[in-house]
Amino acid sequence: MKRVNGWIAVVGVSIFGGLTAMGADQPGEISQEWKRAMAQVGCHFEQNTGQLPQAADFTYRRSDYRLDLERKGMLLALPGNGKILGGDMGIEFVEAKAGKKLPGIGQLPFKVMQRPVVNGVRRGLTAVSTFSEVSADQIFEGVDIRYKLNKDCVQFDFHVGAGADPDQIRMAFLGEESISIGNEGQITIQYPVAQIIQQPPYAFQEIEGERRYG
Amino acid sequence: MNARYVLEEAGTLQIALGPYDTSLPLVIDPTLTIVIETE
Repeated sequence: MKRVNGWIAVVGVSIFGGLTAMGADQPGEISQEWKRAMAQVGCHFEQNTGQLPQAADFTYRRSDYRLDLERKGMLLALPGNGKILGGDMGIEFVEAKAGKKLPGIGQLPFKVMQRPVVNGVRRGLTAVSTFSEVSADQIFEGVDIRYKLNKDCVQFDFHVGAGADPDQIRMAFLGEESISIGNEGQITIQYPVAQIIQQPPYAFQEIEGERRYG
Repeated sequence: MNARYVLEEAGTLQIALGPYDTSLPLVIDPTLTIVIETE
C-alpha cells in the first residue's frame, strides 16, 4: 500500500454481491451487469466519509491526481514529493447557490477501502460507497450539473431548465498560470504542474424524442 | 444551436449559445481532460 501524506492510493476493492446476485444464470457465467460493474472498479466517484477535505462531497481518483467535487466546483489535488500539491487548483462556478451536499446517483455494487479522519484521528479501513454519477441540483437558478465519467475523463453537463437563463453559468479558475482558447474552441487552463483541457462545449435539446443540436 | 466558450476580461468563462427553444430544457456538455506534467 502506498501512502502519501494522507493520500491512500487505492488500497483495495471489496466487491459486494456475487455472480448470482448480479444476474448470472449459470455458475461460472459472468453477467453483463457484472462486466459493467467491473469496468467501473477503477472509474467511479467515491463518497467522502472523512478521507477527503471536509468541503468535498465526492472524489474521482487516479494514480496521478484526485479531482474533488464540491458544490461550488472542482478542486485538483496532486501527490508529489510526499506532499499534496494543489488544493487551490480547480474550477469554481461563479456565484453558485449554496445548498445541500451533492447526492451520488447510480450506486455501484462495490466499495473501496479508505481510512477516514474523524475528529482529527485517522481511523481504520472503512468501506466507502462508489457511484457512477454525481448531481449538483440548482447550482444556478433552474440549472443543475450532472457529473459523469467518460473513459478517462470527467464530463459534466449543465441541465438548463425550460425558461432558465444559461448566461448565469460562469466559471472561474483557481491557481491557474494562464488560460487560452484553442483553434478548435477548447479551453486550456495551465497550472504549474498540470493542465486542464475543457473540450469545446456542445448543446442539445430533446424535441419529439430526438436530440437536436441546432 | 451551436455553443462556444467566451473568455471574459476578468478571466472568467461563459458559454455563448446560438438560438434555441427557450420553452424546452437544454443540455450543455463540456468534457475535461486533465494532463499532469512530469519532468
